[in-house]
Amino acid sequence: MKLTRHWALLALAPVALVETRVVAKDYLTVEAAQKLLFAGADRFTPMPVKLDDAQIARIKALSGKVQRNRTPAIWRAQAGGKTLGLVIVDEVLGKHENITYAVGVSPDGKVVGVEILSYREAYGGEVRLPAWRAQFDGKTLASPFKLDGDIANISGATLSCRSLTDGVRRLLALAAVVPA
Amino acid sequence: MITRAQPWLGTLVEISADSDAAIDAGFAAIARVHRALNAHDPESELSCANRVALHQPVRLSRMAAAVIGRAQFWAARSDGAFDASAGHWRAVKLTGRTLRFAAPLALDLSGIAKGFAVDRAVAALRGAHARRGLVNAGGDMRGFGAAWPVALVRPDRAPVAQIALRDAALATSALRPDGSGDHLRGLARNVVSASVECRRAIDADALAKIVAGGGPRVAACLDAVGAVALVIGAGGELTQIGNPGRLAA
Repeated sequence: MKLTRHWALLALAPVALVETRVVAKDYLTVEAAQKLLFAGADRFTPMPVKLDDAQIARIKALSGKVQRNRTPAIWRAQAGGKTLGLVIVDEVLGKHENITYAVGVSPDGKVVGVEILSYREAYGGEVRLPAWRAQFDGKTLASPFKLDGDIANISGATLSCRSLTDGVRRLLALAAVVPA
Repeated sequence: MITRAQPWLGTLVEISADSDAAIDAGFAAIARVHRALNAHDPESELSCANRVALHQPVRLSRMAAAVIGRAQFWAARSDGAFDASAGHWRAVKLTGRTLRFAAPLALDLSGIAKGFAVDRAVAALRGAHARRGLVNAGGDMRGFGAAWPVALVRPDRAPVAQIALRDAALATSALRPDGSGDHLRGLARNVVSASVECRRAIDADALAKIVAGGGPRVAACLDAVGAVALVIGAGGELTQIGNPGRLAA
């Protein structure tokens, strides 16, 4: 049978979980995200907003989501005095992840773009790996290794951006209720 | 090296490359795949084809034809272990770019579209003269021009292995942390996660599901594209399947 021939088995002791570690990634500053979202803007003017109960209720009605932060971080992207749109910076908390992101909204209420500013995710931390002669494409394993800034890429755990999708919908509603 | 992330394809897509212009091109390629093949969007090309293909032939875009063609290739190779039509792959008739359904069905390309999008983004990065890059769509990834370190983690997020990805793609299919595997058809017993490395991400994506499902066609499917798989068992044990030497070819 062909299958058995290919099962090059590597019998290993189970790995042991030692601690939880947070993988933290900072992609962009607010300023960098603003320029990526509205490349044509020559200035980004902070827009101080204090949401009242009626506005919070309106956001809920429009998006189905609760806007908890009553003083959201909003900038008006401008070019020669003309408003190109809004940049809103927000944070969402998921089960494992914590995402800070920026959304660009056009004057007619459409998403211009979404950029992640930073991402924090909790992983099982340092794991004592057995002395495994890695044959996985001839690569070697560091043992023990830990997840930190050096290992930026992770495969294997379900990564959800549901909270982020909900957040973008909420920010579109927010953009619709603040004065233009 | 610049790294940016945007939400696409129901996950967080991360792109690393030399320049913002290249990364913009990569995300634009991802966005085109997302818009065309999103089964949750009634206006997408895929949704339109799903509504019509039982009643009349549908002329597909090159993109949709390429992905459905590859899904059918893996359905045939795996004898339905991978199936974008939930059990009806033999009723999916693709001739060139013309699609017909011989039975009522709906294609869901979510098991392969992420890998395809990663491939398209890598092509876009290269087209924008990036010398090195990595595209990671929620764990389905492909890198070129450098040795990219990648950690393989269990569904409960404990890391079990680290590899270097060099001019290759990697995809993982895993149980959900709560132990459910309903997104995998026929997950093999005692398997919690299956990762596959090969040249193209679209193949790694499909193969990860085939390997996770187990069965007699696994080795032949891996051999078809010179892929190698790493399976994590319920007890944390690692098993390698496939011949890594073929990857170098």
